[in-house]
Amino acid sequence: MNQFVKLWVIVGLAFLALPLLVIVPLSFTSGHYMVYTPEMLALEPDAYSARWYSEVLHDRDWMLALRNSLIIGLSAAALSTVLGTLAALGLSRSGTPGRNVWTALILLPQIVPIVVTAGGIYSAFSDLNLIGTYAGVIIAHTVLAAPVAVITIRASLERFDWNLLAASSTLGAGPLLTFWKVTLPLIRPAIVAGAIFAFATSLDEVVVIQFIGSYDQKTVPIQMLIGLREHLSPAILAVASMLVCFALSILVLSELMRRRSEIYARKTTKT
Amino acid sequence: MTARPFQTARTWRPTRASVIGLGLIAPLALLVLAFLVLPLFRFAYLSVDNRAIAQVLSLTAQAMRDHPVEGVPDDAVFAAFQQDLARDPEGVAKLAARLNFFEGGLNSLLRKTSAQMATIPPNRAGFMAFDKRWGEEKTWRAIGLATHPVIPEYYLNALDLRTDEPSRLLSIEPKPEGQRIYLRLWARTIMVALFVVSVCTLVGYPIAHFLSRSKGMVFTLAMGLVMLPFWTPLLARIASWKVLLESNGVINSLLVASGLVSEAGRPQLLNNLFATVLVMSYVLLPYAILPTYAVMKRVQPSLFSAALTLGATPVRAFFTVYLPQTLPGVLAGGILIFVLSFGFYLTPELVGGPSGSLIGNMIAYNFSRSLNWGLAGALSTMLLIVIAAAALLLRAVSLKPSAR
Repeated sequence: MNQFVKLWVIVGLAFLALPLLVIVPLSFTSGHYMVYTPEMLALEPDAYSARWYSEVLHDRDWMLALRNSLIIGLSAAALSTVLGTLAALGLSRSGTPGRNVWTALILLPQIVPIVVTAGGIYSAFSDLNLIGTYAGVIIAHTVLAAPVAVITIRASLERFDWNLLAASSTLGAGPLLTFWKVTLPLIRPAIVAGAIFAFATSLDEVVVIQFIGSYDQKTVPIQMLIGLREHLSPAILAVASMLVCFALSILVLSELMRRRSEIYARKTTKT
Repeated sequence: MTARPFQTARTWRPTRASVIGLGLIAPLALLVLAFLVLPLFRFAYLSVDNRAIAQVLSLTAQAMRDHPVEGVPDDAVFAAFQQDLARDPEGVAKLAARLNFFEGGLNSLLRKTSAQMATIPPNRAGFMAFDKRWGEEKTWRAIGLATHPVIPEYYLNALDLRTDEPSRLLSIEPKPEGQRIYLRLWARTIMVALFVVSVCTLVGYPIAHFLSRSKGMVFTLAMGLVMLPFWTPLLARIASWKVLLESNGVINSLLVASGLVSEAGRPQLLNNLFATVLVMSYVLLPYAILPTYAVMKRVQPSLFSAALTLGATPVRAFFTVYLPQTLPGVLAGGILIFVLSFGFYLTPELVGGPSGSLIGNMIAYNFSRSLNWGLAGALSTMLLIVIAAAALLLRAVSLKPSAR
């Protein structure tokens, strides 16, 4: 029985790992096909190369897409972090009425199916002439990414010691100075994490941008989508592998954040 | 008792704290309201609203009321219809597009008729001589529908139903066999969602248990394996599955190389329902593992050992002790996966092919290909209702353990 459960767990974990493990080696193929050739399995050096990576890095379309992803992702992350920090503070303050309703409203973009959201945003943007503009895509991505920032920042505010604000104001600081000198430094790690998660959300988003963006706003996932629809080439695997590395770095980062906040929690409970 | 009227008379007065709190929330809340909530309401409204079109047909509607005839109407209605077409050329274009959603082919018929209006005598025989479709019952069924300011047509369409007379509930009937599309898709979407929930639960439960019992490097590694796909962009995951499942892909090559299948007998693994279910299960598996893991972490292992000490078999101890304790996590994960899989669009679009497409794909199709926003709105609204119901269920389930 126990053996069977262990086997089941191993199969499950392999199912999770397999696709990602397969694409990374295949992205280093020197050939045109996305299968393991006998040469690759024999680990012959000639069967492997970084040619598809260099192809991507020298391709105008991919570089345009990367540039757009950075412009849109960074702008949307900045906007959703600012709005998300404010909202998280408002949602955490005990004096705010109707907090459950506001939380539900702000988290709505996470629950509504993306294709429905895309239709809704398209119909709103067509009245405002925002279709096919950077501003439109950035606003749409802010709506989608802000919940992620709010969740992250709000979680850190749950352990926040609100007496510190009272102490600060007793010492004569106004609300803005208190925010700048007390609140912000304490929740800075969560804000940074929220910004990174918001950026990752924008980088992953393809459905809304497909509805409301034009060729000019083509991002990395849109360029991947074109490849997945038309013809799959190892270049897509190279991009996918780079995205896996990006995900891995986010994972390491969020683990570091978690450890840091645990240490912080232990420190505060000791004193 | 006496304090009661006093209490109800007291109105809510904004305090400083509440104003600051709401002010902080306002910018983001307004953004979500303006670009998500209001458009969704407008969608729901568009899916029943027909006032602009009914306006174009106002004379026809009047004539139809004065001369009620079953099927093809008489000369008076034709004359009024011609006047309506001549009155508002821009409206005719809209009318033509809308009628086409009710009955295929009417767009071109109406445009053709309105372009050569001057040559057509304003009566039934004249119209029928111009094009025999003007003498067909289904043409006039569509026009009759378009005279109503509020139409349930799109919702009926979304359920493969039809009616000739929207004001009479009993006139609703199923569409003819050959025109049914959506009921099958709704059924498929529900079945896929339930199937994906079961797969994720069955695969996820032991993994969650393993995670809750392991420590150190093993835990970090296993948790990493769960979280890495979670953070990898969806398209990268879909790309890897396409590489695995293609007819010349990794899995098929392995099958052929190992001699399990012949070169000609490669199974079709991509662009079907199997691929949709497989890749959706892969994408949603972490959502089953994480809530279950969170609950298992709080369960005391000593209770299970106590059951064993008291003579229960491991199977019995599992079903009477461990499973009931961990059930809230399983239910929360299951409902979450049901909600998420109900709205899936991109995965079925890229790996499912026609036989593996779901209701989300039909929304996208009606929205961006056939530009039928009314039908897209009706499908979206129905989808949101199902999801809202499931979300309320999720809330009820997740509130339970804390109430105990």
